[in-house]
Amino acid sequence: MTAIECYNKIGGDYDNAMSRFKSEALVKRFLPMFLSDPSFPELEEALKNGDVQTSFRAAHTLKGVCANLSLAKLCSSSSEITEMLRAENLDEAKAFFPTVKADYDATTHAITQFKNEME
Amino acid sequence: MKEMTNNKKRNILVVEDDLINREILSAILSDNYNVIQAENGLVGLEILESGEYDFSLILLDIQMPVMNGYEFLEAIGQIPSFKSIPIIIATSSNATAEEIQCLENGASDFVVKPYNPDVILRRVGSMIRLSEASSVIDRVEHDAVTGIYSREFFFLNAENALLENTHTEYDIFCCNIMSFKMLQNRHSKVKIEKLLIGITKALKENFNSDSIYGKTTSHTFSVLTPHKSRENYESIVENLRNALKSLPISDAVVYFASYPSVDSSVPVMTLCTRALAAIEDIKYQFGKQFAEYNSEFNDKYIRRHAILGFMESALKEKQFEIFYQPKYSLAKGKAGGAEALVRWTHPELGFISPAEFIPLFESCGFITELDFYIADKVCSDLREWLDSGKPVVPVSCNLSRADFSHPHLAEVIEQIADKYSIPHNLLHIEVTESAYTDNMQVFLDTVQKLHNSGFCIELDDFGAGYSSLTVLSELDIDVLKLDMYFARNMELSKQRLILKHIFSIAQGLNMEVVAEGVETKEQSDAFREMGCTYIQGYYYSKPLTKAQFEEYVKEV
Repeated sequence: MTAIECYNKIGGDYDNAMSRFKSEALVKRFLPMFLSDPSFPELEEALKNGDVQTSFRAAHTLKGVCANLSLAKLCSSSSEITEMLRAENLDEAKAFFPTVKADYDATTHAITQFKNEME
Repeated sequence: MKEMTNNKKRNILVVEDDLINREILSAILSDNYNVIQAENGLVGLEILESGEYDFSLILLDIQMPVMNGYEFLEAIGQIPSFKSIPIIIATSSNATAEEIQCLENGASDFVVKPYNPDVILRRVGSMIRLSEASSVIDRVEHDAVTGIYSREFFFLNAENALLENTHTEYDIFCCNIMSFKMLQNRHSKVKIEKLLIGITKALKENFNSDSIYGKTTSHTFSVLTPHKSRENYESIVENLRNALKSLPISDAVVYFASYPSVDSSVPVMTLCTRALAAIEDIKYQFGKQFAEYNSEFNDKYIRRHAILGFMESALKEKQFEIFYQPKYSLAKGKAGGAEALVRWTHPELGFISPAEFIPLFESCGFITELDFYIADKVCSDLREWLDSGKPVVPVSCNLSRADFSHPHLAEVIEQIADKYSIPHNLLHIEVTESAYTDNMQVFLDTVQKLHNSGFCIELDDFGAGYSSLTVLSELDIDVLKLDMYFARNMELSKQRLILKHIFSIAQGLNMEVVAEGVETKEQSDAFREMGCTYIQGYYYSKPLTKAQFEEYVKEV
């Protein structure tokens, strides 16, 4: 799987990433790092504990990372949950979380595959 | 040590909790800058406070654990030397409220995620250029750490205030941190800055709003303020001293001086110099930390300058005269020796007391030249007496504590004695314990050298000030000179007891004892009873001129 295929599969914006990073080498370097990014597990954990502040911070970070990596689809859903949490609307966020999780799982699944093939 | 690696690339601190975001920023910036990463505000603050790097810019994320971006902005807003570092906030596109709050809290600009390298490099570059240009201008007018006027601008603004408000009576108030260099060596830059900021804050709390503040040297603060009474200043100083106790360097010694009702025709710089001179005057007086400059002080100051100005010509023109004060030998019933003393009569200033000029000479180091001159004169006189077959007794010369910073003190003394072929046992050397406390090893080595060359060592002023019995055990002292304090307080039974023990120690260590300042027969008898060898004092003789002394030695 090439980087562009990976991006297409997960609703990412490869052109945007390339317009900013300017080299596929950098894209290839940064994209696999997302697999060890702690913000999604933190969000999941904090939501489970009903901790709005930590949930918000984790969602916010997740959104930022996705934006930087041009993971557009996950960026969009994490952005939505960030705003729910900014408004301290925990129930709404919990209800919406499965959408974020689905995007996240799809994203990490594809990136894992991409990474494995690269190696 | 400041990090100046990577061909002097400027340092940028990236404070961001997410590793990917940090790495992306580093990748964007590292071609042009040296990037240091911190995973939250607290770590960022620690890196700043370590002083290891000078940062040209900080890139700051807002949402972080432990210490978030707002808290970080607030924390570094308290530390003026960091305040000048431009901060760019990395933010999400739709968070306008966040951005505004950050800009209000001291951030300079923001960049939006996702990071666009072109945008970031352009923003970072222009922000650094802007900040470097403006800080040059601001640093000239305001002190970078405390924010108050820098030296020249304080003088300028203070002079303007004096000119504009001719009907207002003004005072100058100064405070001076002592041993500032030493404090700088002992404490971190951050602590020193907190001290300076703390003093500035305390000053502002204690003076009216119409006062003008300046940082006039690295360790001096000056205030021009409407006139206040001495009592008023005393309570201000009290407040300031209390405020100092809570600062990070609580042992910093700060002195204060006021110069009330200043003459507006005198340059403010001169006014400050005079106020600081008042501080010089109290510096070594224990417990005194506030001085008021007055005209009497001014006279004293002028006289000091005159004395220091005249001293070298006085030495050339032989204005310093040697007097000999006999040491009366109780056993022999005649002069057993003498101490050489110096007298100075200046053609304009008249008689100047040694108590006045010796401390001044010590402070500037001139005392060493004078001491060598006296030793030379004494040896020359001894030579004359030896040659003419007159009776000769040993003469002692004083070495000041300041002389011990001369690298070849013992050798110079020896050369002087040998120049006149004076047997070394005829020249005694008087040293004081204070020299011992200045630089112990140098003192011990020098005195030992002198003793080994055959000069008798007399320990002067024993029992005054910080007497320590260790000096007796560490040095080969030949003669112990009891401070005149003992003669004056002989009627105290405690003193007598102490004296008895001093005499038994002296006996045990094979030292002769000279009692100084003896003025009555009772005192002399008491010392004789205790086993004293020599008596020096007005009861037997005042200090004599050379001719008088020759007569005295012959007669007694």
